[in-house]
Amino acid sequence: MVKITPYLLLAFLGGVMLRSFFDIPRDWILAASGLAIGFLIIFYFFKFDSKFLFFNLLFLVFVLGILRFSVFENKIAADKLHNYYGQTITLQGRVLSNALKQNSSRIVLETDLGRILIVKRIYPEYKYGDVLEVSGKVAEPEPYAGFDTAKFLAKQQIYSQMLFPEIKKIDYAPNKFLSSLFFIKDKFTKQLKTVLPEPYSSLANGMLLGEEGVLPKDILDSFRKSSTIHILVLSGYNITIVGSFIMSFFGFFLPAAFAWAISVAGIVLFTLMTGAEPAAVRAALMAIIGLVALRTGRQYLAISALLWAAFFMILWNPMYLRFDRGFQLSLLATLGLILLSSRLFKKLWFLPKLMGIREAASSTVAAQIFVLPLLISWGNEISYLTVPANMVIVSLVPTIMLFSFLSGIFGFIFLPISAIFAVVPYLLIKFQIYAATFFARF
Amino acid sequence: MPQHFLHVFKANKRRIIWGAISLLLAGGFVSGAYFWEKAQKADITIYFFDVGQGDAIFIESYDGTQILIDGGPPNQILPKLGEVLPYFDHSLDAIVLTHPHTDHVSGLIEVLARYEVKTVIESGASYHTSEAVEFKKAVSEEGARRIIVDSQVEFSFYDGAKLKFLLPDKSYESAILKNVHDSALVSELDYKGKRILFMSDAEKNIEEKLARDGRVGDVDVLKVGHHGSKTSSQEIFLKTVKPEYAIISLGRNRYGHPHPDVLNRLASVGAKILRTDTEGTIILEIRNDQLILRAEK
Repeated sequence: MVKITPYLLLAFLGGVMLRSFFDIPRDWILAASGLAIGFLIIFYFFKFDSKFLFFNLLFLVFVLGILRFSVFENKIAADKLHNYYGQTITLQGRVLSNALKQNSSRIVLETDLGRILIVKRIYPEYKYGDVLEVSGKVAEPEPYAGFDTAKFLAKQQIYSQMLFPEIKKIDYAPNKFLSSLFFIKDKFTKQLKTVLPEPYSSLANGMLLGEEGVLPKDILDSFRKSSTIHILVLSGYNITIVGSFIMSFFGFFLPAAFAWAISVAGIVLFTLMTGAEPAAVRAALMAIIGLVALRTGRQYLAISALLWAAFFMILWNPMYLRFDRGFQLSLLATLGLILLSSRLFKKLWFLPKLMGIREAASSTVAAQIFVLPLLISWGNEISYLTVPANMVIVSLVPTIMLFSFLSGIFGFIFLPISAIFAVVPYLLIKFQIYAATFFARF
Repeated sequence: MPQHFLHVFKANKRRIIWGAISLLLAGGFVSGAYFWEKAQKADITIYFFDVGQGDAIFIESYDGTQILIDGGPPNQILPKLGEVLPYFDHSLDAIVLTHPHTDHVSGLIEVLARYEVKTVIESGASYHTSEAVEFKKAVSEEGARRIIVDSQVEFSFYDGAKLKFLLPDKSYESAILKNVHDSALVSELDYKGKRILFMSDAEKNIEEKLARDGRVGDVDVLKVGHHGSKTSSQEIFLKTVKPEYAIISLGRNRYGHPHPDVLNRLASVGAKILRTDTEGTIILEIRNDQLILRAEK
């Protein structure tokens, strides 16, 4: 029974995946699930061989995956704002998040009628927990430059937007727990920004938190053209590598089990410092699974842990599978790490073992091979130098994350030490920008 | 426990020694680079940053005095400053807000948040946009010395270099103007006979006043007023200041800047025109009494 679980989990993910690409009529889904349950009953009475049961269960779970997505999509029924498309109304709501763009900022507002995306001028800035009164025209999110904005917003249960409304702040009423998390995150990023100049601090922040933020266009373009823009997507894989750094550092003078525990604690601390946003929590979970794989070397255990984690995340929000890049990146890179890195390690016999160079190379290549199809599906330009570019640029990300994190932490204690730690990300990011411009030329 | 560490040290002796050597080398490299940069520095360096449609001008002298005139539109100035300031430098001696329009003030709000600013120089005029309001707030939070220019003042810094404010000649503190360009801070940098005139967004009326009162004379470099708009750079004014170089700070815009007439008038007084939208950041150095201009994309 245990042996078939991974296949069932995969079938569920497959169902969600299929449904996220094609709209399947509800009647078909109901008919298919009826069929599957019918077969199950038949099996109960007639006792066919167990292979039949296996495929039947697989089919049932697959259909359940489809059903999960459909049910999630129907959440739009609970949203009342979409009834007001085209109308000018006044709304009151609480700010959930705030993101800065080049010439505007975007806030997500939670109102009694549903969530809405507000596009506004950069100033005045509002933060989590502010209660605002906005008046403007409610509109349906429109596709932008071939990008299905509506689906991406639907992932967060946002079905409407309002462009440059009149805004009035009327109150500040945050959730105590969340606001303290936001406070820590804010403080942390501010520390980092005081020691690291731009554009390095925005890039370091992007790698740490997976936020694209605002970066000079030429820099973004070089990263895009060298197909390394995904350094700005928070991936569990990178956190795994950070964890393994911590592990080998403490492993130097502490027993292995202690070192392992410290590195897991480090990941938890990291998640808290970055505001414990859902994306960071998901990435951290995958990272801990990756660490288990690295530590125990038991592939089957690691894979089933990874699949279970993916299953629960997708059960929670099935739209992640197709519309959340961090989720996709974490899942595939960690899978590559588990499946391929130990095999590659033997193949790369010509690299020195000194300072873990061979290990780093094998895990980078393994993750990279699994991530490549994703990069293509995101519509990135793929040059024939993609693999070397990623080897050079992406493999620096964990080191940058580790030292930016240390710098941010020490910012709370003693600023000069923080500035010294930040020299590492400063130089490495400088090199990354240089390398990206170089690879973008081909 | 110490024995344990001794054991660890012995087992990894080579690694630790190599680590120490590479750290020393890195330290030597960094300090070498620092002194090399210092030796290369010009007496006065002025960066006309390419910040898109807007103004942001950074002046630095050999002794490290740093002045920023305007900050440009949002999200542009910080990467530019990050590139020219040394890594451990988190402070500016003075920032100047010539007038509170968004394409001049926005970047200064970001600068105030990131850098320690000692002095803020402005006209004090009020303006209704949220950016202008935010700037006022940021200045009071910074606790910087605030200087309102209400008469001709000059600030001396390195080796006889002077930043002179030519206008306004009365206080606009909290004034609400129909056209805030009337309160624009016009300044001139003098160093060993070289003169650079920063016009901000000053229009015709101010140009006339400057020429009529004899506040300006022949200059070497003119930062052209109002991004090359036809509201500025009148012939009579250009004939007074006779610039060798004219620098226009602008980006893609819907106002038709720079106006072809302005370009013609500048050319007719013999000025070589440099534009941030086509050439990128324009860097002007005064080195051994020579003016050196170059552009960096």
